[in-house]
Amino acid sequence: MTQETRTMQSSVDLKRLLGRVGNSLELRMLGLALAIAVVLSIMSPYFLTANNLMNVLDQSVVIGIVAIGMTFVILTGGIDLSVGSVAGLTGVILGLALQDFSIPVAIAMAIAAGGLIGLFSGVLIGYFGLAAFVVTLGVMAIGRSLAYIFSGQTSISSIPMELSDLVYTTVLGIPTNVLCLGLLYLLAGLYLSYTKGGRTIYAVGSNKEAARAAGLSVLFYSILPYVISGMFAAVAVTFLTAQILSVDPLTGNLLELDAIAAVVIGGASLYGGRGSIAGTLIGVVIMVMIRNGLNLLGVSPFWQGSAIGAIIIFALLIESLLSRRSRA
Amino acid sequence: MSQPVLDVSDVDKNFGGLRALSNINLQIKQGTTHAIIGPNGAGKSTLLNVCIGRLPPDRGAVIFNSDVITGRQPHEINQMGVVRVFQTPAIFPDLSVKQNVMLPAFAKRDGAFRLNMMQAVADQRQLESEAEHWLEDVGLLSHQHQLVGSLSRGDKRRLELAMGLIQKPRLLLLDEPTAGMSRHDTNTTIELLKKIKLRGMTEVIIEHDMHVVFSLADRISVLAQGQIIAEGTPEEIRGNPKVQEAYLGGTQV
Repeated sequence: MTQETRTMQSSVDLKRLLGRVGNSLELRMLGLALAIAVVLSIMSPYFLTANNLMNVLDQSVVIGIVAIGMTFVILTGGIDLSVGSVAGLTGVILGLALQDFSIPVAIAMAIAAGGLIGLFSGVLIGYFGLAAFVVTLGVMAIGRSLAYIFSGQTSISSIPMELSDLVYTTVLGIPTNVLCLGLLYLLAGLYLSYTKGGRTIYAVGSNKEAARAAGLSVLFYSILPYVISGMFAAVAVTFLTAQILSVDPLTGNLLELDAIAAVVIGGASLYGGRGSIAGTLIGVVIMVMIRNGLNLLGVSPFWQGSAIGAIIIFALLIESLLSRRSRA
Repeated sequence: MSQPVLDVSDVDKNFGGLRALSNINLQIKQGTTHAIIGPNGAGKSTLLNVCIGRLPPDRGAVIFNSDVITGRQPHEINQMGVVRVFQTPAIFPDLSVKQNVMLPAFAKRDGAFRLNMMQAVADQRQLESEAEHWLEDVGLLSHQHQLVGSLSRGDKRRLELAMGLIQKPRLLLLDEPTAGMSRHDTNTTIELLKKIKLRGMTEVIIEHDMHVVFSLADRISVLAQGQIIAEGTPEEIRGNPKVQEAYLGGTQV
């Protein structure tokens, strides 16, 4: 290639990149996130303080980790309604295990339990072809019920203090839970874009038949996302438990709805095949920022649900109108 | 005579009371293009689905390069080198043309759990250039960044071929490669398939369009009501009265 054609090539690349930036859903949502941040910082002088921004990140950890697993599931065209109650159940398992085992063993047991529950849902959905909505609805009910039974209907508060090191240790001024969140997003993003597993998850959600023709194992990668989702629910509840040093059987109630909302705000299609980890992260931050801002503004918690619901619907409506225009 | 690449022996397949395939024997030799023709409902697609492991036969076996492949998972058979290009486009509408072609290459390259992300990112460029090579081969390179949904029917077929070829198949199964195409697209596809054949590819092609069949096939098997009623060179098939009655039905070929 001569120097000249190379320059031409790179200017074409640049144009394409700019075109993609304008069309990219993630960037439009990033714009929305920034707009919300600007509005909140105008309305409340506390919003833009370092302390509060760290709060926003801190509050993003639990929903953010759960939303990674949810992204994997939704990319295959499925849904996991059980994450909230799996978080509750694995939290109870963690709390009970901490009574008898060391911290790393107890955490490993909780994550393994989350993975097993995910495997159960995944096999029913991927192998037996049952509807993901119904299977995970059932697992949601079972999980919550077992959480109550295992915990003896009360919260477990005899959690060793050392567990809180997971949250209160800082590296370069950043708490470890926020660092872990960042690391998990980086890994998940690379996995989805650059590995066979990640690309297959998109392929399964986009067209199962084509995935088979391409030599990809549809069965395996239809099940795997539910296992990941269950494990990440356990990881999330581990950080939550480290923060409050207590486990309640009701932990994680309605967490699935926040996670699904974050993934969808982040641009994933519930039909599968479309979405990204970067989008999900933006979705999570939008959700947490709104909740944080409403608290700062002193909005009654009873009104907050209405506000968040309205913003989710508004964001999706705008997105749908924009993408309809760009497709036409 | 060398071992056939694909050897279908004594295969039966029933759907309830319907006998879809009955005592099918078929040998495909290395480097040949073998066409399977027959009226609608003759069992052509069923036969193809048995070959790729989508349907288990009720009796008989399919042998690929002296390995019995009946009973294996479709993706395993694919990994062995049996690649099919479908009647309905088997593509990923949410991904770009290039990403579509890269997917089958991913399937060949990695194991299920690849966690060395640094290496994965570094390898990406090589996969991309491989995809570009095959897109150029089928004449789609200029469309590589387009979303697949916006391609024409002929281009979608070409994309599928690129997705098949990147898997470096040892046997290419083509189910009506020119169905629904304009005459112009059909002719470009024939040229493309001829080009691939000249490289020594073994192809099995199911096709209604006799123009396509007689342009490409070295041998033809005629399937009617689940049975092979004739097999031979294009000249032999053209002159076979049984075939004329069952399928060609007096049409000018």
